Amino acid sequence: MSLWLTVLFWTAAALLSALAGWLVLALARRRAAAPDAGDPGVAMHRRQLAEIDDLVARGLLSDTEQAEVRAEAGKRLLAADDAARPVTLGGGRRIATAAAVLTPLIAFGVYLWIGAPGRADAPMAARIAAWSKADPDTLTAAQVAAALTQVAKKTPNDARLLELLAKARMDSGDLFGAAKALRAAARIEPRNPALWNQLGVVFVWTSGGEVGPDARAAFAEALRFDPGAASPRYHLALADIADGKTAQGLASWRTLLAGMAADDPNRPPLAAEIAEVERTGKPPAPQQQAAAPAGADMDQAIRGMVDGLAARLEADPNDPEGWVRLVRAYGVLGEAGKRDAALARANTLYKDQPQVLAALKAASEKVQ
Amino acid sequence: MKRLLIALAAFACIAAASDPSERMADPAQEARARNLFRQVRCLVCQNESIDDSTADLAHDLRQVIREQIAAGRTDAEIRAFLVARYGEFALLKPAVSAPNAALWGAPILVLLVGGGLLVLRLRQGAATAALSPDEEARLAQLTREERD
Amino acid sequence: MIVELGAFALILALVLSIAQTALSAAGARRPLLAGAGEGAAYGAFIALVVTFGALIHAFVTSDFSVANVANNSHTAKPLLYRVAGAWGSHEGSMVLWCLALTGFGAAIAWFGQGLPRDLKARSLAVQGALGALFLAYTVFASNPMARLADPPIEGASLNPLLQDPALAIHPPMLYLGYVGFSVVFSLAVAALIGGRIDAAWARWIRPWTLAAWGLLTIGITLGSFWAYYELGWGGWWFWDPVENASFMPWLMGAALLHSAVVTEKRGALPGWTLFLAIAAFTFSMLGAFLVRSGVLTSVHAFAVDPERGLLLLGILGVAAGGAFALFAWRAPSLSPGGGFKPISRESAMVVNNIVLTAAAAAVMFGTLFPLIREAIDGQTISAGPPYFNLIFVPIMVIGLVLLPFGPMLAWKRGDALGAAQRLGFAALLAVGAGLLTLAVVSPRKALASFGVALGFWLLAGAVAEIGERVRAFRVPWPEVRRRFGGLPRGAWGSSLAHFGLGLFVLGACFETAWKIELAEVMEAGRSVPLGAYELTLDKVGVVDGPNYLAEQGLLTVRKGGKVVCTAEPERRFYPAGGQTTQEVAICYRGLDQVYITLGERRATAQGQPAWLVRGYFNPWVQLIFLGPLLMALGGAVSLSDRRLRLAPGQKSKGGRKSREAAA
Repeated sequence: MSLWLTVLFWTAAALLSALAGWLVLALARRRAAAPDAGDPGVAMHRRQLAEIDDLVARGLLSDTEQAEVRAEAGKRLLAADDAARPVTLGGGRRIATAAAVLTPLIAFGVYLWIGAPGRADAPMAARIAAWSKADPDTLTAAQVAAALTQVAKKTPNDARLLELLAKARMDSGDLFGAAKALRAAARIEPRNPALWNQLGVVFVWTSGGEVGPDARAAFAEALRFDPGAASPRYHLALADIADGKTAQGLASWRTLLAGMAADDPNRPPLAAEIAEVERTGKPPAPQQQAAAPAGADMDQAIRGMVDGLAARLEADPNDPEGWVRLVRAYGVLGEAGKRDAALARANTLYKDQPQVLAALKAASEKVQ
Repeated sequence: MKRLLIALAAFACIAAASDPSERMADPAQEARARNLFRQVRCLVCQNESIDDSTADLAHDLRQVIREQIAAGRTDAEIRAFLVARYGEFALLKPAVSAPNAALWGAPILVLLVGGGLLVLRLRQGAATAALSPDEEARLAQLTREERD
Repeated sequence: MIVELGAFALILALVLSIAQTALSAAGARRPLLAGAGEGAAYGAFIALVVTFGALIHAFVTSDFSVANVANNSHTAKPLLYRVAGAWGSHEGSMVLWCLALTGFGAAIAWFGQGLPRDLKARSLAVQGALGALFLAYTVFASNPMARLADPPIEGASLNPLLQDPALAIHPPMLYLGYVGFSVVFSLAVAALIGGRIDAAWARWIRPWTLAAWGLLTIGITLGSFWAYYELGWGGWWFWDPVENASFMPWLMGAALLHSAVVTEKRGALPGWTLFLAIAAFTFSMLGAFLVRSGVLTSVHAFAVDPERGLLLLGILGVAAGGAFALFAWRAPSLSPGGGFKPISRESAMVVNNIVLTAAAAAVMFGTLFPLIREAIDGQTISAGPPYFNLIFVPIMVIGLVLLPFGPMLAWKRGDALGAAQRLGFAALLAVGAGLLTLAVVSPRKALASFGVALGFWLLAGAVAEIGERVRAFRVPWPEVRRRFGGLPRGAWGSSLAHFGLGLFVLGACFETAWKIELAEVMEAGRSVPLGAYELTLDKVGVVDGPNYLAEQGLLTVRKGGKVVCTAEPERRFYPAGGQTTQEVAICYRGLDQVYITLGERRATAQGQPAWLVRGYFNPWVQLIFLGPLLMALGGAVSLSDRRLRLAPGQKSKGGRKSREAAA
C-alpha cells in the first residue's frame, strides 16, 4: 500500500473510532441531564382505567361487569405505580469516559492481531491494468485472458482480438469462454473459415473428443468458405466414422492424407489413425485423437477444469456428484495422491450415505 | 383420516407429468407409481422425493418401482423392499414405531399439555376482589395527578 | 484500504457491543451510563454499516484478495448478483445478521423513548450481549474480510439458483424478521430481570413483534415464490429444513402477537407471552444454526464445517438457555392477571397459542427428530411432506376452524350462542361453497371440498370480525357508520390478516387439488393440450447470457384457438460452476398460472431435435402468495395504529378515547 493510502486508512479508522467515542460521551451527557419524565407504564395503565370509565359513562358495560373490570384495571394501575420507583443514582462519568477511550484502543489491538494492516485492496480492474502493462511472457494464460477480456469490452467489434482472447482462454482451460469469444468473432466475420474451424475444435474438446452436432455445424460452415481446409475435413470424416459410415470417412481421410505435404507434422498421426480404423473398424479412442491437434493444451485444459471443480468443491463441498466426478477425473489424470485425498475427504463427508460411498468407490476403482 | 390424506396427496396426478420416456402404459399403474414416488426420498439429493428429482439415482429408483408395480407387487411390498434395501431413510414418511414415538407424539403432547395448562388457568382465575377504600383513595390520587 | 477499514470496523463493532452490554447493564440505575450504552449501540450499528458497505464494495469490484469474494463471486456475474453475493455466502450473511442485530439495538435506543429507563437500559444490555456473541463468532470464526495471500484470477461464483431477483431481496427481509424478534427477546429478558411484567410491557413488545412477524411473512413468501419458479417443478413449499427453520419463528411470532394482546388488554397470561417472546427468537437462532451447521442438507443451506456449526449451537445454548432458566426462575412469581371463563376471548387466544405451538412443535420434530434418532441408535430416517401432511395439517385445521369464533367472543366471558349466530352467515357460505365444489367436481375430492369450505369460512369470518366490531345489524345505521369510521387500525389489521389466511387456504386447496401437469417431448411445431389450454413449441433458440449459455424455447399458449400468451422458458448452463438451471416461463391468467419449463434436449424417433417440455396449469395459485402478503399488510396496518406509535407517556386526546374504547 502506498504511503498516502496507509495514512488515509489510519485516518479513516481513527475518525470512525472518534465518532463512536463521541456518541458514547454525548449521549451519556444528554441522558444524565434529562429530567425524569415519570414512569410511562403508570400513564398507560391510567389511560386504560380512563377507557373503562368512558365505557361505563356511555353505558356499554353492564353493572356487574363494570365493578369487576374496574377493580382489575385499578389493581393493575396500583401495581404499576408500586413498581415504578426505580432507584436512580448519579455518577459514572469516569466509567463512560474510560469506555469511550478504551473501546477503540482494544479494537485497534485486536485488529493488529488478526487483521492485515497495510494490505491494499485488489479490485479486478486494477489487477488487469497491471497485467496489461506487464511483459506478456511473465503472465499466465488466465491472466492474459482476463486482460484481453477487458480490452475486448472496449472494442467489441475486433474479430482478431476475440480470436486471441479465445486462444488465451483455451490455454487457461476456459473452453466455454473460448467458444463464447469465437462465436462473437464469427458474428463479426461470418465468412472467416478459420474462426468456424476453431469453434468446431473447441466444441470437440468440450465434449471430450466427440464430434457433436454443434461441432459438425461449425466445421460445415468452415468448409463452406474454405473447401480445402484440413481440420474441418478431418473432423467431419471422424464424425462419419463415429456414425458408422466408416468407408465414407476413411475415404475422406485418405484423400486428405494424399493432399498433405510430405513434411506436414500431421501426416504420421493421421496415417496411424487410418491404419487403426482399418484394423478395428471402429473410430479411434478420443484420447488418441485429441492428441492430434494439441495434446499438451488438451491436457492442460482438462487439468484446468479439474482444478476448477476441486476449487468449487472446496468452497461448497455439499455436492456428492461433484465429488464422484472429481475422484474419477484425478484417476484419469493419473494423480493417485490427489485422488486418494479427495476420496478420503468425500468419504468422511458422506459417511452416512451408502449410495454416495458406493459411487465414490466405483469411481476410484474404475481406472486403477 | 389417514387414507383421506394420502388420497389428497394423490390428487396431483390427474395427468401424469412424469418423463414420457419412463411412463408406464397403464395410467392406473402409473398413478400408483407416482403416488409411491412422492413417498420415497432421493437418497443423494438435498431433501427431494424421487418424483421431483432429476438425479440419476432417482431415475434408477423410479425404474425399480415401476418394474415392481408391473410385476404385480403391492405398495406395501414395494415400501418394505425399499426399506430392506436402503433403510428407513428411503421413506419420507417415517414408520409409526416405538423409536419414533417422540416424532409422532410430541405435537400431540404439546396440545395435551397446553390444554391442561388452560384448564388449570381457568380454575385459578377467581373473580377479582373489589377495591378497598384505601385502594380507591390511591386510585383517585393517581388519576388526579394526570388531570393536573 | 476499504477492505481493511471494513475489517477494522467489524472488530470495533464487536468491542462496542461488549461496551454496550456492560454500560447498559450498569445504566439500569445510572442514567449517565444508560446514555453511554445507547451511544455504544449507535456506534456499533454505524461501524457495521461501514463493514457491510466495504464488503459490498469488494463484491462489486471483484476484489478476489478477499476470500469470501473469491469463493462466492465471479467477474461475469451481473451487478445485482454481485451486490447480493455479499449476503449470499455464509460469512456475508453473518454480517447481515449482525447488522440487523445492531440495527435493532440502535432502534431500541432511538424509538425506546417511551420505555421506563431501567427496562430500556436492560434491553440494550441484552441486545448488546446477543450482538457481542454473534459478532465474536463472525470476527473469530467466520470473518468475511479474511484475505487471500494469492488472489485467484477468477472467482468460484455463486450457485446460479441463487442468482435471482427474489432471492437477492429475500434474505434481507428474512433476516430483518428473524432478528426483529431479538428485540422482543431482549425486552422479555430485561423485564424478567427487572421483575416487572404487566400490560404496559405487553404493549411495548407489540410493535416490535408486528414488525418482525410482518417482515418474516414477506421473507418467507418471497422464498416460497423463489422456490416455486426457480426450482422448476411448480412446488411452493417443500418442508425443506431451511423453510421449516423460518416457519417455526413465524408460528411462534403469530402466537406471540395474539398472546401479547391478551396481556395488554387484560393483564392476563404474562407467562405465556414471555415464553413465546423468548421462544420466537430462540427459533430464529435455531434457524440460523440449522442453515449453517451442515447437519442438514438443503438447497438453501450454507455449507460450513461442523466445528463452526457447534460454535453456533453453543451461542444458541447460552442465549436461549439463559433466558429460559431466568423464565423458569421468575415465572412462578408472575401475577396471573384477571380471571376468564372457558368461553371468552382469552380462552380463544389461549387455544390459538396452543395450536400454533403444537404446529411449531410438529415442524421442529419433523426437522430435528431424524438427527436425534441418528444420535440415539444410529438409524437414519426421513421426515418429509407425508409426515407434515399427517401431523401439521390436522393441527392447523383445528385452529382454522375455531379462528373466526375468537373475535366474536367478549373478554372475560363470551356468549357462545351469540357468536355462533353472528357467524351463521359465514357458516352458510362456507358449507354452500363446499357442497358446490363437491357437486361440481368428482366426489372423491371430499377433502378438497372441505378445504374450500374452510377457506370461505375464514374469509367470511374475517368480514364478520369487522361486522362484529361495528355492531352491524344490531345498532342503528348511523351508529354503525360512526363506529366504522372510528375503527382502530389494529382492528383492520387483524381482519386483513385473517382474510389473507383464508385466501391462502383457498389457493393452497385449489392448487393442490386441481393442478394439471404435463410432460412431453416436443419438437418445434408440435402442440399438446394442457387442460383447457394448448401449448405449441414454435422454436428453440440459443441465448448468450452474461455468465451463462441458454437454450430458449418460444411457446405459444392458446385457449379455444385464441393466443393468450407467449412463453419463453430457458434451460441455462453456467460454466463457472458447471450447473444447469431452468428458467420457468409463467403466463398469468387472473388468479391462475400456466407454468412452463424447458428440459433437456432429446431426439424424436425420426432423429429431429426435440425437448422435454413440462407444463403445469396451477389454478388460483396466485392466492398462495397474495394471501401471505395480505397478512403482512395486515401487520403493517396494525403497526400504523396510533395507539402503538403513541408513546405510552403521552396523554391521549379526549376525542380519541371513545374510538379506542370501541376496540
